[in-house]
Amino acid sequence: MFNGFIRAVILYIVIITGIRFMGKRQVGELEPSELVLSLIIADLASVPMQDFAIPLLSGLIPILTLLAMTMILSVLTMKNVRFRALMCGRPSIIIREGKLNQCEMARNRLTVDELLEELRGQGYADLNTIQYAILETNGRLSVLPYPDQKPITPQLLNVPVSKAGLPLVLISDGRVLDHNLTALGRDRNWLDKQLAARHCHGPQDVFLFLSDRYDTIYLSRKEEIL
Amino acid sequence: MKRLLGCSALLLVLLGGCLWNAFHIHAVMSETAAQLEQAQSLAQDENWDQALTLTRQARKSWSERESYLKTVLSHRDVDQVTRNMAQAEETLVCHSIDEYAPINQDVLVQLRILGEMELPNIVNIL
Repeated sequence: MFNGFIRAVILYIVIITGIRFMGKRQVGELEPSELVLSLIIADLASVPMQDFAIPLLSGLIPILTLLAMTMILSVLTMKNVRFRALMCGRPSIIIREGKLNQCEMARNRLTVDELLEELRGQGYADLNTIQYAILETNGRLSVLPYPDQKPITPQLLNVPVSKAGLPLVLISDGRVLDHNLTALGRDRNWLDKQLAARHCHGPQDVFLFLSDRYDTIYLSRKEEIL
Repeated sequence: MKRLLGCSALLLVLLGGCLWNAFHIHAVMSETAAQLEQAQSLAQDENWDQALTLTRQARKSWSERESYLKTVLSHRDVDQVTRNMAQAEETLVCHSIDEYAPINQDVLVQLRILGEMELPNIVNIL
């Protein structure tokens, strides 16, 4: 049992480290090689975790091999356009200038029902409003409406808007994040004044404090969790 | 580029390590098998003391390598060889060739299989 515990910890750490090393893409959009890795890696890890007679290396070596190969393919995909096309394919234009491309739909085995479902999910019920619809290599559909169908922006109406910066977390669950405070060019005195102005005794009373460089502040007090 | 080189290096290290291990295991199994074959030959000539000495040497050598063997091979397989070698030794002490020969032969077959199963060839890959 102890062996199982230690093996589970080791394999888990190896997998987490490997996936983390792969980067954000592994967590979000998956390339084919990354998808295969995700499917296989769980099985590979579970075998030595359950059967103590099997050496741990029987799980570790295949996992490390797959992680290394996936990373190599990922880097090559990033650096070489032809290789990227080979591994991931190319985006397919399903709707071009408002017209359905039936050849592309057949080539991608995309049915009309699937297309309409995806378009409705993105808020487009009327195909006449769509200029381009592109089936991306990750399987998602990108929709570009005609310019006169796009949502109105303040720029189009010549309406001035107040500036907004990137909000940074300054207090998280009672803890002050000094590096973010420094990044905003602020200090603890400023923070204490802001808290006092909002009737907080200190960071310990705050669950979340966000601010940007234009002093737009969001504060959420801590609640009592029963 | 660093990641590409690092991962390529890791792959090469893993490949090199696996190949080295395959041939090392084969060498270990062959060496142990050679000692036991010689022991069997001596036992058949009723040279029990020398056969026993050789078997004990083989067993000692095997025990010294057991930790490494269990890291790279199935524990069940390694334990089975260990048990059979102990049994072979016991039968040698009793000078019982009828019991010793089959057990020793069993060990030799197991050693041959263990030595071959890690080798990089088409049969093992498939």
